[in-house]
Amino acid sequence: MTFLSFALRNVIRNKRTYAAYFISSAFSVMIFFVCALFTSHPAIKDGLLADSAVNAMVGAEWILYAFAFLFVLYSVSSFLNSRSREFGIYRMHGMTTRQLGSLVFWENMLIGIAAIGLGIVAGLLTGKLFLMVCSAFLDIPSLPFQVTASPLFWTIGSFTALFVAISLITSAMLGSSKLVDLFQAGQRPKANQKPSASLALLAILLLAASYVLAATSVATTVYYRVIPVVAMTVCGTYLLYAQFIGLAVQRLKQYRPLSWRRTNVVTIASLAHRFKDNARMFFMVTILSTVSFCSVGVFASTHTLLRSFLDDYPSAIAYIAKQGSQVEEEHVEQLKGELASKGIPYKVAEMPIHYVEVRGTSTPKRLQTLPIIRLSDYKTAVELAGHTFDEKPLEDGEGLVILTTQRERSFIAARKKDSYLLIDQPGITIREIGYTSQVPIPNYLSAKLDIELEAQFGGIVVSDALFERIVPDSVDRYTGFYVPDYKETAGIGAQLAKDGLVRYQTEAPYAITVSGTLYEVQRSLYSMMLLISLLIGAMFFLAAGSFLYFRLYSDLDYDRRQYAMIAKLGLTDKELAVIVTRQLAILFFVPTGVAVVHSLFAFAALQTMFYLSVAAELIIVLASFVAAQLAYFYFIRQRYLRNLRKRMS
Amino acid sequence: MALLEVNQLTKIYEGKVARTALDHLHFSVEEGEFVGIMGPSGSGKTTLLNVIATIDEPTAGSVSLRGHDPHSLNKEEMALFRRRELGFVFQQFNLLDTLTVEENIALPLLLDGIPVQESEQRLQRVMQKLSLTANGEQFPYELSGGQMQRTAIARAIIHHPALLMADEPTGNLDSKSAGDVMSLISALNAEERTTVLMATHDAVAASYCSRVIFVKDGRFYNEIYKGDSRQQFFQNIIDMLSLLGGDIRDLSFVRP
Ligand SMILES: Nc1ncnc2c1ncn2[C@@H]1O[C@H](COP(=O)(O)OP(=O)(O)OP(=O)(O)O)[C@@H](O)[C@H]1O
Ligand SMILES: [Mg+2]
Repeated sequence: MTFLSFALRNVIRNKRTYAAYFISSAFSVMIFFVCALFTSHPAIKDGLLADSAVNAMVGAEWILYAFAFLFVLYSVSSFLNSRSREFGIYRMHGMTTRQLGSLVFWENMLIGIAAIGLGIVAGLLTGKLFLMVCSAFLDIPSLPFQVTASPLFWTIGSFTALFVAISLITSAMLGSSKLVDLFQAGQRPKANQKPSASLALLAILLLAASYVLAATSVATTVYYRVIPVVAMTVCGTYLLYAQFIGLAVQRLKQYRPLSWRRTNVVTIASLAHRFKDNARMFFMVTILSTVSFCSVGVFASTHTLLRSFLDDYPSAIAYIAKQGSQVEEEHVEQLKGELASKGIPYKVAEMPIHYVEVRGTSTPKRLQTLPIIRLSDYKTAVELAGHTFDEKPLEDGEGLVILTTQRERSFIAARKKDSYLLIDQPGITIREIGYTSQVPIPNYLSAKLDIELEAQFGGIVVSDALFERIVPDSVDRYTGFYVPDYKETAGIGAQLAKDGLVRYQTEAPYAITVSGTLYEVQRSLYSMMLLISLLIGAMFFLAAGSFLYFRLYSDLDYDRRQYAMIAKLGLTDKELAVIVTRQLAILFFVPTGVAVVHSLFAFAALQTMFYLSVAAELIIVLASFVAAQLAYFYFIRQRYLRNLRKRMS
Repeated sequence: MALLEVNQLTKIYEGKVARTALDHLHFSVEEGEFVGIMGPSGSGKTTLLNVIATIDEPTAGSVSLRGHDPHSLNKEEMALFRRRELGFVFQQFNLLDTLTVEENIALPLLLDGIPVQESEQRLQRVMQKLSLTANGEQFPYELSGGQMQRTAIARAIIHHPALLMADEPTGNLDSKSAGDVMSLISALNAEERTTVLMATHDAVAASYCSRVIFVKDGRFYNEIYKGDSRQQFFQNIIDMLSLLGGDIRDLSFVRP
């Protein structure tokens, strides 16, 4: 008998243990493959979609690949761990480490090759559907299904490399263990490792601290807090499982009125028995689920940005001619021509933007260039955009800080109002008294006011009288085109701005936003991100499920023997179902529960970055994940119970 | 009325080759008796105990315990019957290795929802009787074979079962521990009048019984009563076993 057939036999015998791992691996191959099908599709290559969206998808593929690597590595090493007794027996009977290594290598390769095969086949079968979903999601014309060599080549090549690498790594790891270790593994309960009270306390402190930091973060602090909070949560979660739960279970065990109530004794004992093993798995599952909840949540929320699109882009086409521009007239005429030829009625508003050199009183050492616009121009812009103008008249020397996007509202609380001294006209000061309620000029076209605050806010609105008195250092001219439905402007001004945007901070003599085009680009980017996060979320979720499944099935034999023993003493079917359900519920819902709590706090922090409430999106995301987990739980519980009963009688 | 009646009990294992494990086996056990079951390997002893304990079902015939047939119960009632009326000491100990000695012993009470306080009292009593007081907090893997066996016995008697069944309770023990375990069971039988049914290969262990039933190929073969001398009883058992044609290996602990 060759090693290959021996390996094949081993794999087939253990198919139940490998099932979830195999399916998750095949699933990642499939996702990788269909994404490759999409990104290398001739129509996409011809520029059907904005480059940023395609790049996002390609990036996602490699994230997926990196994750698949870690997932396979972890799974394979836990399989090997669970089989150490078997390996001990092989080696007792004279199998050399080399032979054992090659056995393990071939076993992994067989599973890997089968997973690649299944993944590709599933990819071919679902590829058409995936392309349809993508085009519907991204709102592009449907793509004909065609398979080119390159996605096939990339998928097969990269995953073969992955499985070979991991098979080599794991078979090399085998040699190091001692025979006696292999034999003793898994035999005795591991309940005697003492959890430490101080580490358990640390777990609670870390989690509490990161929750408080997350919940109290505001737009200005959220960026600085992300990394420490994530680090603290990760450590806290690990300690929670490795120490706190162990300690809690131990305490619970000592409290007999509860722990000795009927079947509790069995449940609690088996929890205590495996808490160290479970800790690692619980940790992994929690982190995977949290990442998957959060990524889907984040990208589901970015869609709300589109809801405030109209607020942030008041004019359908916004054009700024910089000082000294020679092309302004030509460009504006061209835009008007294009609008007219499409039959879109429009109104035009123009306003000068003046730049003056100032010194802020809060940072007197630094020269700043302050953009200012007239209150009456602001009024026109706001009214043309369909909002009501509700600012009080400005006194001399007063100014309103211009919002360049409604999201900046979240930064207002943290910002100190400043006043400015004009450098060349010493008599004049401008004092900020408040903020505009609307956005007159889109963010991309604004020269920024607060450089140190990561470029927020767009300048100052001053009274007409003051505006006239101030001699500008340079002058830009803003032209806004207002139309009834900005979405119709998609494609206009394509020679000026390919993807609907030329930022102010470029060398070009102008800057422009075309809302229709920009909306489409942003929407396809957001949709793409959402699609990607759904794919990755699904992948992570499946991986978490596969860890749970593996834990369950690698212990099935052991559990079955335990249950059979109790059954002989007299355990009714109902009681068996109760014990099993309780244990499975702990396995399934403790990590998910913790992940949900983590995500809720992460979402609280996320909300600070949005102007509209993202609660609805986030609740839907969490609810669907929990529902999926529930379905998975019932499915597994039913199969597991059936399996137990079948093997017990 | 006898405590246990086994009426024409037949058990056939279906399979490629049907195997008759029990063949019209018929006997009864009185309240307070200590009965041994002996027979060559494969003669059906374990099957018999399992069928009496409702762990397995008979093909034909019936079992009656205090006049009731436990096999007429539904599955749920059977489980309750096992944990209330029966004590079972398994050949392989069958201790739960996640539970401590205390928890293992108390398990039948806990499953039955006996209040913790009462459970604890009863636990202390059996542990004392079986000299396990020092081992309460230990896990089974930390015990010696004899201690495990005593734990298993403690678990089997803590709920005062009507019938204590033991399947080769000395099978894994050295002669000293085997002797201890047997003295213990016979003391239980004598002092608490617990009825005992024990399957064994061990002639020395069997000599503690008040009666030994011999089975061969699932059939009743013979039975002998103890009489006055244990020494004589032991000799009779040995003679019967050699008549049975059991393998000489079965005659373990052959010593005067
Ligand atoms: N589950 C089963 N399926 C099929 N046949 C079985 C089964 N269990 C036992 N047997 C058969 O029934 C017969 C009696 O088995 P049993 O285990 O009762 O013997 P025993 O007297 O306990 O033997 P030993 O002294 O070796 O323990 C044997 O021939 C055995 O092969
Ligand atoms: Mg037997």
